[in-house]
Amino acid sequence: MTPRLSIGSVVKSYTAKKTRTTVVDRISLDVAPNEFVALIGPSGCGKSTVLNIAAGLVTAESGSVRVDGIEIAGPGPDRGVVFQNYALLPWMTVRENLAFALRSARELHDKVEIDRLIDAMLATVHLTHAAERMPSALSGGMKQRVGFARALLIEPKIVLLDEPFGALDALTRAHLQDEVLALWERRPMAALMVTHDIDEALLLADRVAIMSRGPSAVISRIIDVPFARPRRRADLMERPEFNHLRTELLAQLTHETEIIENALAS
Amino acid sequence: MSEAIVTGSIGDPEREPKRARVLDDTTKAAIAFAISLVVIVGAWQLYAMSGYASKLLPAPGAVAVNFFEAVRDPFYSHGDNDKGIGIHLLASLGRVAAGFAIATLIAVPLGIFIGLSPVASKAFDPYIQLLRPVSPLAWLPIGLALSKSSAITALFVIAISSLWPILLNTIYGVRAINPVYLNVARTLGTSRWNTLRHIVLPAAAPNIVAGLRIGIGIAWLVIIAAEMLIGGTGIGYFVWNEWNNLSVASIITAIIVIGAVGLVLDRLFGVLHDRVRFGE
Repeated sequence: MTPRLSIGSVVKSYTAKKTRTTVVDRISLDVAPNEFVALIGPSGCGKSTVLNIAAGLVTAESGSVRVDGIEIAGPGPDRGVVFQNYALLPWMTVRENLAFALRSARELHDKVEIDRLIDAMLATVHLTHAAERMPSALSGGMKQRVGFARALLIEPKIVLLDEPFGALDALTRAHLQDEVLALWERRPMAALMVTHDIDEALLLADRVAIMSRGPSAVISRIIDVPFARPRRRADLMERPEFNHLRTELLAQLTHETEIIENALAS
Repeated sequence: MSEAIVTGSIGDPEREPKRARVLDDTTKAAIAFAISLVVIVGAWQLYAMSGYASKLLPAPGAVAVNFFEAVRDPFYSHGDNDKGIGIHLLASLGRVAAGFAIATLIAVPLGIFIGLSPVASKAFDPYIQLLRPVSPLAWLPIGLALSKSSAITALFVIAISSLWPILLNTIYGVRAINPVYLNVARTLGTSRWNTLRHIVLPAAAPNIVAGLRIGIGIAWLVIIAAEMLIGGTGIGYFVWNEWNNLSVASIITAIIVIGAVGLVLDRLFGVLHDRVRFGE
């Protein structure tokens, strides 16, 4: 079966002060239709760069990104992006933000149809009451709900999530993770999420790809998450396999850190 | 240690402010303004009476009479050389509006283009850097040479003087757009035109309006000088004409009117600025 998203051997480097640093070095990763993949790694390892390459916002020097087998030509609405800092347009209300996405990505122009789709999506993310508010009048959690709503409304082939819960406080984060989990299990779709939170990766993902610490970051390991769906946070926490996996992942991530620290020390 | 000091000062009766006598800042400012006004007008009155001043300098009372006469019937017309201040004011406002509109229609699109294109930015920079500091009145002969018409020259001078702040603020505003907003448009597949209209323009609008606000201020400064030289109608011509009539009271009246109109124009753009501002 053709993967929904196929990242093939992408390389990206930056030149600063005449020194060339390879950030990601021949990274390959596939996401199947209806599969949720988490990309986890220490901060600064270049995992967001991989996501931006998949989104088309950053161009790789070599390698390819394919959606349903077709090479991408830059960013496009076949991939819905949820940004870490929400990236709502602050001069538009919630409804206008979503309508802008619909008009841009799906070229819808029928006002009644647009409003119907928006109202349904706002009900899904529990934001019906905030439709006419400006983003500046929303809490972080509410802003990111709009972020999710925008990415889903355009009916992309895959959603790309760049640390979507990263800017939220712990309580809001857990709450929104649970909602996203339930939403995804009701309506599964291909998803690639970048995160540095092990629990979050294990809760949401079918597979977890671990990136080594940069520079020249590679994917050092891919783990299948064995928990059946529908998952519940409380149930997972009680299972010994969960703690086992979590310890293993943590060891892997700290191991990556140690390697580099040892290399620097010697 | 520090805690002890804090607790000590709370209970200290000598530190309690005497609230009954404290005026709020607005009242204090109003009182200071009233006192300073009395002092200035009083000094003016004394100086006018002292004999040191030229006989042309009117006393405050004469100016007040002149002002209220001018304002009571601003639109009279007794031939070309004797028109009410309102007629001149409207002529000046018309010129400023037309010249400023020309400047805006050139500077905003050009500024957006330059702001978005690094190549255009480098290519246009020499013109901007060289021409921006030129005094508005230096353009007057160029306007006359270009058009042979004093009416068009006035518009030309207004437009070219108010162009620079609008252009520079638009360029800055476009360059300062958070790249995340542009990335949103790119990932949504937004068309170029819609990106311009729904992302670039609203994102840069606060800076563009700040430029318009400076521009209208400059236009209003320049129109007075330009009309003094070009003649015919307008508040600048009015000032010049009243100087030829040796009526300094009328000139002071005109100065007050010019200042008030400038203030209103500035406030209009202040209101517009509040409307296009957005919180992140």
